[in-house]
Amino acid sequence: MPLDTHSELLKSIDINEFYKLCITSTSKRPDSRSYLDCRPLKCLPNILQNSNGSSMIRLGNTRVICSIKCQLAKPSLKSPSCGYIQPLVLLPRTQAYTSFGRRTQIINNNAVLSQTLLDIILKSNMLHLDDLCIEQGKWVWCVSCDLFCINNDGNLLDCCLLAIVHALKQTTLYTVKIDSDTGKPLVYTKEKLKLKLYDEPLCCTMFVYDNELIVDPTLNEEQVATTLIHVVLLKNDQICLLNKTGGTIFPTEKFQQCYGLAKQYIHSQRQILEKANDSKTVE
Amino acid sequence: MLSNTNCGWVDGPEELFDPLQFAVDLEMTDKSSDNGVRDVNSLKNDDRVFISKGLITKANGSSYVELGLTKITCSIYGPHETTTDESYSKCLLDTSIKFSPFSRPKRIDPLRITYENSNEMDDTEEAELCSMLEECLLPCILLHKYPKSQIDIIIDIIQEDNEANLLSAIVLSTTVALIDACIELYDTVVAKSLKIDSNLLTVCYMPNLAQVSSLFFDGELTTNELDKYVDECIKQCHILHKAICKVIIDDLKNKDQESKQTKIA
Repeated sequence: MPLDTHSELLKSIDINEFYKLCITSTSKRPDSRSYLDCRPLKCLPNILQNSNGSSMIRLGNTRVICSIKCQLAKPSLKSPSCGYIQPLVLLPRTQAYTSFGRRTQIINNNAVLSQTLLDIILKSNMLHLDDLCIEQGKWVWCVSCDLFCINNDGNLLDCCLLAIVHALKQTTLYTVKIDSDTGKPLVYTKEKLKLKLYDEPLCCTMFVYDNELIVDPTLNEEQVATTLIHVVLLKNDQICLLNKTGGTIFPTEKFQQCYGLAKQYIHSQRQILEKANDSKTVE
Repeated sequence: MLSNTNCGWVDGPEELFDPLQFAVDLEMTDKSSDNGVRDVNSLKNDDRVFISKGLITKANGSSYVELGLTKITCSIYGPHETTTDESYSKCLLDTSIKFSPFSRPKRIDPLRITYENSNEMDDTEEAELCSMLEECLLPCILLHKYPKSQIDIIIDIIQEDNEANLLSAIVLSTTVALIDACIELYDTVVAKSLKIDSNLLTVCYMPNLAQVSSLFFDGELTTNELDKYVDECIKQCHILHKAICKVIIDDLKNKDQESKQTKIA
């Protein structure tokens, strides 16, 4: 990487100093966004042919592909009428080659993100696990959501959640009937049913720098940030998840401000998502 | 492998079944191609090429290639200091190719994707692709320019359409990524595969030098026929080469304009 200018050199030597300089001199972020601007968002539906539903999300340089694959499975004894949903995040393998991550750390991050997504999906009731049941105690659907990050440039949780919601909206299930004699499932591939979604949780990530709330961090900003705040809101603007990582002390009034920002940000996300859906149906 | 188990789900199902194996209204003959409609489309789509570069920000060079319905990303790290002390006079190539979980009609267990940057290979197909790629790249990189160093080539296959396109797309993406990483090359390598009945012929060709860097063929053909098909491949390679040139030149022009604009500003 060529380091032509002084600022690029500083960026590779001391990212904290670089950021401080940028904020104090121009009161704008290094990529010339103001504090409350997010990066351009683009949602592409149905990009994979081998999945039941898929999507690609581009948020600035961050790119995430989500693939929904529905397979048949036997239900667990604990809950015989519940299907399974398994989100799994795969961070780019390329990260293991940079100084940004060791192998164990990446695997750990994968697991943390996957579990967070699962919690959001289950707690928000966006999809009822009972709907995935084909016959009680015999057959259920297992929905595997594979999230594949092509490039990680920060704000992965927002992207992953957008990708999952967008892909689940496209997802169709085959019609399945159970053969009463043999108990085997009969799959009708030509009759497809849309998966029913009850809610759309979307996430807004913010960070605190110098007592200033800034939305949509890039990877560099995530390093610089003292505190990260995730706010997940449902369709009716109710809070589904609120998470503040440790770091700076934070007055409770500031959460109100966070909520206001998140509402605004998620509202614009929802509009883009709806537009992406509409354009697809027109075709 | 043991450390990967923490990705697994405690409450997950023990066994998963592909719904297509219970399908009742699917003709067994065209199971691979969805009710024949795709065959017509894929013929048209086979020629479609899309190349973009520089989408992976942390890599030295990267590219994204669509060839027909095959989609591949490639990123390059290096040249950087090598960890092994095998080679001092020349540069080492370290290639790693992985299929993503959704690249094929049957889902691949994602727990098998490792984050190891060593040569640990557990899939024979991936290993074969790696060795084929290395063979066709070795003649074109100026390896002696980078002593005591190594270049990592990491390829992710997002979607595989047919095996004839796969190697071609991999070579294409690697070449573009190598150019993006500013690694010195003798020429751009392009590859084209032809599928004749059940025979698969792949020619990796360097158009400016008019040399074949490597050729893979399995099947049965007479020498005359083989000549004919190799010529056909080379013709196709020239088309791909033009596509690469267009992308690279457009990119350079854009960068030039941007730098001019910033100078004025």
